[in-house]
Amino acid sequence: MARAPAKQAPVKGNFKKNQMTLWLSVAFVTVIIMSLPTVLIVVFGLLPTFVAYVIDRAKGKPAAYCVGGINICGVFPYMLQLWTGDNSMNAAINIMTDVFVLAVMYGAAAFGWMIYQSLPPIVTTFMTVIAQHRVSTLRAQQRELVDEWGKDVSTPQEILDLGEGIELVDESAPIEEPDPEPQAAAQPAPEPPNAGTAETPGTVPGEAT
Amino acid sequence: MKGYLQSKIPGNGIERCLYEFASTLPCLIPLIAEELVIHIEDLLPGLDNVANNVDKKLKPLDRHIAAFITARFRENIDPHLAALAEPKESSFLIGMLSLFAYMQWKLNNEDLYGLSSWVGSLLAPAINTYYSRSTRREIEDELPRVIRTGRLPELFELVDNAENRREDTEQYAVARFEYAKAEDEIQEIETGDMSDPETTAAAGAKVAAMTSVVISMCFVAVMIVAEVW
Repeated sequence: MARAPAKQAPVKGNFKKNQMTLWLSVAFVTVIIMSLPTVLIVVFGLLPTFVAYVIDRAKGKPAAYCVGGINICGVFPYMLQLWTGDNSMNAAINIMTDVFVLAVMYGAAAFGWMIYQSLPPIVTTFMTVIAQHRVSTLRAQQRELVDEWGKDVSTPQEILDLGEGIELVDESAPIEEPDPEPQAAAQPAPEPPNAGTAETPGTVPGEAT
Repeated sequence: MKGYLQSKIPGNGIERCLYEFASTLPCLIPLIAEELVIHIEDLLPGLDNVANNVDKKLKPLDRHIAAFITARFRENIDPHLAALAEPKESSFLIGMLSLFAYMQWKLNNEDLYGLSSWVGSLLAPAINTYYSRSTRREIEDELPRVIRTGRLPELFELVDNAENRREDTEQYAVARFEYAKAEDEIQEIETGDMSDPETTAAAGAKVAAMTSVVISMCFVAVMIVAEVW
């Protein structure tokens, strides 16, 4: 008996994507109809930004943002001119056919690209300098700690314990267990004596009886 | 007596049996043989008298003197004896100092300038058990003044102050933690993202994008405000 073909689950993501594309298309057409001059300036003025978006393969499209940001600075004054003055196709075409205007728009985009090319190395260098400064500060701190506490301060406790055990074994002393704390063996007397005045015999070792 | 003979701890052994059997026997150590120390009260003054004429590298406490003290000094000195049995020289020195200090205090001995000087000259290994170099220096600076008082309890208090020991140990632990923390941070900087060229380049690109967007927003805002004004 032939097996019935498995039903394909509806792909939710594709449906949403298609719906979004549809709405965007509707909005785009509406914008074109309502303000075609502005759309004209945006489409031609922001061409470098679209190009940067296409060619930028980096995550987050930083080149597109960089070029686009400055490119908008070059385009926006002419959009403003359009909105506050004659908002017609003729005015838009006049603006877009002015070489000076194109130079400003594309020059701004070029400046954005220049920022994208020049700023990262500066930031990288700055970060490297900060990191090196931090490393040298930490090294200086470590040197101070070694000066104050000796070289053992840099040795992990496990290795110190191991060395202590080996030392005790070598001495063949009548000690059954290695002393984990070097301080413990150096401090056998349970209580230090007081300053020696018979009037206040509080802390003399062996005072238990 | 069998127990004394079998014990390896200083203050016991054949020497202890000897002094326990003969209660009027003077301390037989050649160092103070001339002093004819029979009573425990005379031991520290006897050592004090010979202190200026002996090699200061010799220790003023050996098995004979320990046994003499154990046999004649009727106090609980087990902690001191246990310290003397420690293999480390520093522990032995601190045990010796604490025993002498206790005896001086308990027996009301007068100031022992020579013995203080003698014991004080031997205390370098005990002082070196402190981790902190500055604490060691402080003790070493203070040592001559305390030695001049002739009071062994004060000397012990200086060298093995419990509070100082505790602080030293705690601060040493903190110092080791700080060292390890600094080392971890250094390793993270040297081998982590901060040293990766790709990561730093990506961060630079993000900064450039942010800068551009901020410039753009400021410019647009200024243009609008200028137009509206």
